[in-house]
This record gives sequence, structure tokens and C-alpha cells, in this order.
Amino acid sequence: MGYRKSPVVENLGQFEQVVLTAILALDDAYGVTIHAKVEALSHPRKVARGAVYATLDRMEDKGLIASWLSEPKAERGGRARRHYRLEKAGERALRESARNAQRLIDTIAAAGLAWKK
Amino acid sequence: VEEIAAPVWLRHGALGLVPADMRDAIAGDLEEVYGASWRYLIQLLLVIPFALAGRMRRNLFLPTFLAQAVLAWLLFGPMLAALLGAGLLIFAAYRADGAPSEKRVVAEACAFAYGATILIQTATLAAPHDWLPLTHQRLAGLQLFFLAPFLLPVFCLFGAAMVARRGEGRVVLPDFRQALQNAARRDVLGAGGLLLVLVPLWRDRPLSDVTAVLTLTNGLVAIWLLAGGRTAVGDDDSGRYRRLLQRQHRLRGLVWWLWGMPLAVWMQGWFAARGGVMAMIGTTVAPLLLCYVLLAVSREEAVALRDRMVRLRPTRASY
Repeated sequence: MGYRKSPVVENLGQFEQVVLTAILALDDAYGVTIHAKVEALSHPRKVARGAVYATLDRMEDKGLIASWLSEPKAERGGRARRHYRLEKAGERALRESARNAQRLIDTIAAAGLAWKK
Repeated sequence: VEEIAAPVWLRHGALGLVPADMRDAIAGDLEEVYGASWRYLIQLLLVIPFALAGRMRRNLFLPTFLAQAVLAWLLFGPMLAALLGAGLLIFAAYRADGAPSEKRVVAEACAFAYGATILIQTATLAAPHDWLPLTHQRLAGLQLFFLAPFLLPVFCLFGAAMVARRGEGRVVLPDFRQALQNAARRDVLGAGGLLLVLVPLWRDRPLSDVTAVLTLTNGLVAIWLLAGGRTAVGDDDSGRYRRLLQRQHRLRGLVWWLWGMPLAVWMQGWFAARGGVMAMIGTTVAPLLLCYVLLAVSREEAVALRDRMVRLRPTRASY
């Protein structure tokens, strides 16, 4: 009897999860806004701008996100913006990561470890 | 507080270090946040290593790179192998058109091997005894002046072996089986021809180290043709046939190269005997000329192969 193979879900690194979450949360996701959001999500840790670009590049190769260039803008010295959005594979991977994180939270809470406010 | 602007030439210079397809987005982002300030420049310099690493990861074909690195290490020693490796890595980072085709991989490997060889030749001639002491000892034993052209086919062989594993579209060719049989016959003939070149070389031994390298290279290709590289007649996957046909072409180009080797050895020996600058020019130019002739022959074959592929009008696979 045959079986239905479930689609492969990409395992995400911690930083990849943060970057994907930032893209998901932003209406207009491009380098500047993504970096700002990633820094906010990673607070108090500082995040190198280059690390964000490298991660975006890698995730685009994996098919988790897609990008496109906008028209050049005067406030950017006549340069275009590279915008990003989540692909289906990216949404699946992020959902799976969130599920795993939720399981950890539930387990920690069940073990009686109080959250520090 | 208004920040002092960084000099335009410095900003543009630093921006030139960012791979071309990332330049616009990164420069625009930094311009938007920092303006034309020193902070822009500092941030740009901090971004460059990440951008280069990302592009290296995307554009580098790792098996070929590792094969090249190991060969370079064996032949040149660690110092120049590191130089060659770094050159290939940086080249991969700045490649604008993504992962290279198999043809480009082989051509670049050859170009870098040859570039490194010329560099060593020049350095060794400039200061034969007190410059590059560690490498020089290794090179003296291998008679590097005569090794340059032999490195190219070795890299070609590895390049062809590695790129042959890449997938191709599946097409059906009407006289598929006949063409496979012909290709298999040519493999055996090619290997036989190599053995014919090998025997007199081994007997005459014009230069012992050169003969050893040439014998090894010829032997490797002959084994490759007779075993792993040989076209399997029973194979019914026409996409694989097409791939094999292309690989055959590459290997035949390599065989042409090897048949030209005795001439290269003679030319290099003649020039080297003149000594000094003459030796440097001769040992550099002579293999290049030979390389040009052999590539021209190979190009003719490529045209013939393309014509043949066009005649064998491909149709879509039905299975």
C-alpha cells in the first residue's frame, strides 16, 4: 500500500527564524526595515547588517523567500530597493519552528519554571 | 550633529568590492540610513565580508574546487595552493552569472593553474635560491618548468569528471543505440591511442619527472575512458546519453591535448636549454601556443558535435 509523502520542511536556524518572522511581520520588507525589525526581535543583541543580507541570500536560495527590485528612489541616491516576501516553503518552515518553540514553552511551563518578568 | 561626508572616491572604491548584483540594494539601504557619511563607509566595509561569503557559497561548485585545491597542494605545496585557492574563491564571489557552466569550470581551473605556474616560474627565476624556500624545494624536484602544461589536462580531467555528474534535460534521440555504440568504439580507440603515446615516452624517458607525470596523466585518462568514462551501450536513458556525449567531447579534447604533449616537452626543453629570460618566455609562450592550437581543434570538434545533435532531432520522453 502506498503512502502519502509529506512535503519536506526546511529546518531553520535560530537567526533564520528571526529573519523570516521579521519579513512576515513587515508590510514593506526590504534591507533597512528587515534589519531594524530583526534588531528589535533580537533585543538586546546587536545584529550585523551583513549577517541579515547573507541570511536573506541563503534563504532565497533555499526557496523560503522571494525577492524583487523596486524602482530607483531619490532618497536612496537613485538606487532600487530589494523587497522580500515569504514563499509557501518559508511559511511552512516558520510554522514548524513555531510549533517546536511552543512545545518547549509548554514543557518548561509544565515543569513549573516561572517566567521572569 | 551633521556628519562629515566620506570622500566620494573612497565610497565608490569600497562599493566596487561588493558583488555587482548586490551593490544597488546594499548601497541604497546604507544611503537611506546614513547618508554620505563616514558611518556609511564603515558599515559598507563591515557588510562586504558577509556579501562575499554569501556569493562564494552560491557560486562555488565545491567538488571541483576541492579537487583543484588538493591537486594544487600536492603539486605546489601549501603556500601557493592557498594562493590559488584564495584566487578561485574570490573569483567565485564576484561571478555575476551564478554557478558556472561545466565549460567555464574547466576553463577557469586551467586559467588559474596556468596563472599560478607562471607566477612561480617568474618568482623562481627572479631569485632561484632564497625566495619561496619551502615551495622551491618541492618544485625543483618536480621540474616545474616542464609541469605547466601537464597541470592543465589533470585539472580538465577532474573538471570533466565532476561536472559530468550534473543533471541534464531528458530527450530521446532516434538513433540512440547506434550513437552509443559509436561513442563506445571511439572510447576504446582513444584509450588505445593514448597507450601508443605512452609506450615510446616510457621507453625514451627524455626527462624522468616529466615522463612520470605524463605517463600518470595518460594512464588516468586511458583508465577513465575504458572504465568509468566509457559510454554504456546498454543504457536506455537518452538524457544520460546526451550528457555522456558532451562528456565524450570534453574528454576527446583532453586526449588531443595529451597527444600534443611530446611536442610541448620538446619545445620546452629546447627553450629551457637557452636559459635565463629566453627560458622563461619560451616555457610560458610555447605551451600557450600549443594550447591555442589544441583548443582550435577541439572547437572544430565541438561544432561537428553540435551539428550532429541538431540532426538527431530531440523529442520529448514518453516514459
